Amino acid sequence: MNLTRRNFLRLGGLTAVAAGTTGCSVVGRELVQRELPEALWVPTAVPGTPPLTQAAPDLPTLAVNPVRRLLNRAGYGPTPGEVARAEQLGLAAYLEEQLNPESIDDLAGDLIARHQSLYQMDASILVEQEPQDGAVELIGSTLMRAIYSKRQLYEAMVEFWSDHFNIYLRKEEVMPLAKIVDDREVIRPYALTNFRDLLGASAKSPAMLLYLDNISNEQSHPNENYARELLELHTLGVDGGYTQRDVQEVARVLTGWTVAKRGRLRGQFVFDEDVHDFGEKQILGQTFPAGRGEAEVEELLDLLASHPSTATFLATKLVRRFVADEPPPDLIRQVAEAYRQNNGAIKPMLQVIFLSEEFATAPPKLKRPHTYMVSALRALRVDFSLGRGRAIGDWMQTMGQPLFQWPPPDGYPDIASAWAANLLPRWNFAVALLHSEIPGATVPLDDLLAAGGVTTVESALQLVAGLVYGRSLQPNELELFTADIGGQPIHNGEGQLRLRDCIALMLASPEFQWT
Amino acid sequence: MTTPTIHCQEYEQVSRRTFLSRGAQSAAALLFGHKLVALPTWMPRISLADPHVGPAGDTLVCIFLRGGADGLNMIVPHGDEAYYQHRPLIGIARPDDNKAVNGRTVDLDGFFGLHPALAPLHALYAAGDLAFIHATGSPDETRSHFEAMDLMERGATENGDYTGWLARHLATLDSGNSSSLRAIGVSDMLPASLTGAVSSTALQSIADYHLAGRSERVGQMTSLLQTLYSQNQDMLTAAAQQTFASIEVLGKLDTVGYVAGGRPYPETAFGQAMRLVAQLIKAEVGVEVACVDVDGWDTHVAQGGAVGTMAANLAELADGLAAFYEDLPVQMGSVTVVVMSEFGRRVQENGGLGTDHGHGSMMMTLGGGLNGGRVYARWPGLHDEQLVGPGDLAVTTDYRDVLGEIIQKRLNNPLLPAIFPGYTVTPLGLAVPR
Repeated sequence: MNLTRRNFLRLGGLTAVAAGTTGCSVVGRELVQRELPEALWVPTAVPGTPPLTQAAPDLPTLAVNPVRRLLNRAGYGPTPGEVARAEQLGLAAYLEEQLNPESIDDLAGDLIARHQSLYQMDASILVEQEPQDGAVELIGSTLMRAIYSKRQLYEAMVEFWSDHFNIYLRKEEVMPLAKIVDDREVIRPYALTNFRDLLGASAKSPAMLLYLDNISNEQSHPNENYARELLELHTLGVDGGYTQRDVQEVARVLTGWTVAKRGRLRGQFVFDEDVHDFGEKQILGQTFPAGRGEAEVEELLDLLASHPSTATFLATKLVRRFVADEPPPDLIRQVAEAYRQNNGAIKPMLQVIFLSEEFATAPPKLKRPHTYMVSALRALRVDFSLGRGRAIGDWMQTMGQPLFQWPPPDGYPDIASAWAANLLPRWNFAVALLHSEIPGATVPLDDLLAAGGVTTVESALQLVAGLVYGRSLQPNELELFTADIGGQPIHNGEGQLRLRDCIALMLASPEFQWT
Repeated sequence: MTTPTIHCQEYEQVSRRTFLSRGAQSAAALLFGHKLVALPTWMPRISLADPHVGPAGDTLVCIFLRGGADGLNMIVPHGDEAYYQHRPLIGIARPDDNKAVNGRTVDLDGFFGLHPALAPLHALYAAGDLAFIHATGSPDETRSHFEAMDLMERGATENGDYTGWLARHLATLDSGNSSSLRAIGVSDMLPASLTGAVSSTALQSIADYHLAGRSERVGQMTSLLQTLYSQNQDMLTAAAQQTFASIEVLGKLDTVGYVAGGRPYPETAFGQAMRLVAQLIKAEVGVEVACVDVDGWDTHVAQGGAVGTMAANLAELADGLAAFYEDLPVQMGSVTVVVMSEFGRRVQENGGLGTDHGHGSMMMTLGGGLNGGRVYARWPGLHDEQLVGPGDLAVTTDYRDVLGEIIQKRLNNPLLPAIFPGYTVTPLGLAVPR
């Protein structure tokens, strides 16, 4: 990161403040109060109404401008002023910036990193730590980055790959610590680089080998669990053209691919040739000669990563995530082609997706609970400090998407029907947020109103509608809310409480559930 | 698809809303629009038969003891001398052991007996409404909690179908019940057994199932939100209607003034959960399946014997079940309760007055439609050579035989192959056909 002198001083000051606190407790507040230049504080001017998007019969009709859509989907939604900034830059330039996260000056990310003590430990020391601390640091820093990092597409891709290479935090006691290693050495380094590298790193991730039982995969009693999911969920896809025989042969290749239980490398990946099956194998019609050992796995991963089914499977999942629950086949083909032509590079696939006509005219996509929560915090520029994370963790749980806690290996579901039936917790999260009932979270309403130069009920509602919906309220909506607030002044007392009620209702309303 | 009614003012509209005419399938159609599927399409590898059309049977209350409950100290095999050899310190004394200081086994059939803390259940057993199934469990020998729970709640033996067995039961029984409360989980999250259920509600308390906010504003805000959700017609509209309907139904129930019909429910999480379920059953709001989780059964250390940590858990369990039973004297004829855990515990007590993860376990079933008053067991024995793995009770009755028989005879769903794929259920004669 390019540390300016000004930022450097701030970081120094912050570290001093942070000493004596735990976890990420001060990051949010410090960022909101100190980091961002005043210019970015001005909420977006109330926009008009952009053209309506064509949608399927069971999907709503939404009006979304293209830049706002990009911020909503290639990240966790805009903060005040961000749409205007991105529009100034232009959609293509903003995307380019997001595709090169290292070019983005990200004070938030650096601050969060400074609060990650476990992330800085060697794996052998890390596995000795308290697992619960690991869970707090892992979930907490992931959440804080989603809210505050400017590298939004990068964070969105970290979430995408964390689902693709799902690991269930409560499978084993040590898992939160092992997952920190996975996050640090697998998901984050390769989230935007190359799938083959990511796959290779994942295959050596102790958390993954533990989660999918490859640690008990030995020649004398093979365990097929990881082998199966490697084919079915990580690469080829369930219809990717492999057989049960292939699963068994892949399991043989992976025998002895395990985690050291003792010694200097305790808790780290090792290849245990004593339990490896050195015989010849046949996989997807290709012969793996006898006597090879560890190198065989790399060859296997090459074969899988370069397989056409893998290109199609990854393209389908990416298009489903960023474009539509029912991914348009033409776009899948183009994205798969980008994967093949660039030897598994990830960025070219994302470029094709976000610059496509299908993306520009995509039907609405239901926010998953995590995205819903984070986008609400971002839209209102909430001053959020994690502490031990208990309260926010409860909300994540109730809404149904507590991070890294999906037991089966397929990752949290990515289509609307999976999530549509659990709305009440979303609504009540919005109410609790606006009424300061979530410890650590404060909606800076006075600051927002002041920054927007707002004095009347109507202008306050329009300002918030701009932040939440990216559009101005229709006359009937405006009437609905103003009637509820009545003629009371909004800067304090009952008037402000009712304004907060109305903002909660906007966050709870159907429109804010979709992007 | 009929256009949904927006405001559900009347209770009748809730229990039989006009736009939900045909139970699960139409609920699915409503939620998922044009796709006439019984389960969300993201669920991988589902293949379901056409649903069975017929009336709902008993209300099933499924109680899961999380952590691997020690069935051997719940229904004590006091007639197996090896039990006492393995458990010199934490074993529960024989019914006729006059030297026992802290409490003795309450005999059931001359071989098995109740832990003294479960004594409140003896009357239920004597009345023929309570049965125990011993040496039961999953054929899978995993001793990992999460894997074992995952397998058991999915009703599977290997990776494959990620939906829960209860979800598949609901999806394959078109009972014409359109209630938004057809399946509930009394917790902050639905249990895995309900994963994929089209209409299920995570319900922590009846009183809290409403829009949050200042009490004098909740009514107005709910009404405003209903207006906002009626502007479009999409899949969220339908889901929101379900939620508003449940709020409406639950809002009519008097939670404060509710008086149990029998003994008071214990003031514990479990007691209150059972109270909630009983209240919903009495109110006839369409509950077909209710899931309750009870934590605290992973007793590696200081488990205790006739008194101690586990005895306290057992007292809580017994008091809650007995209060539930007494509260529903009439309804019990169409209620079946199942109590289960992911596995049992090691036969040999460990050095910390506790027990480690084991294999064979114990299930309880309670209801008016059961052949109760019996302990069902093909007892494998507790001598060393009779144990499996690192010294565990063998499983001689698959848990799916118990659940399957109840589903078929009491829940009126014959489609067992869709609920427990790849498994053929062998009934024990535990349940009386409705």
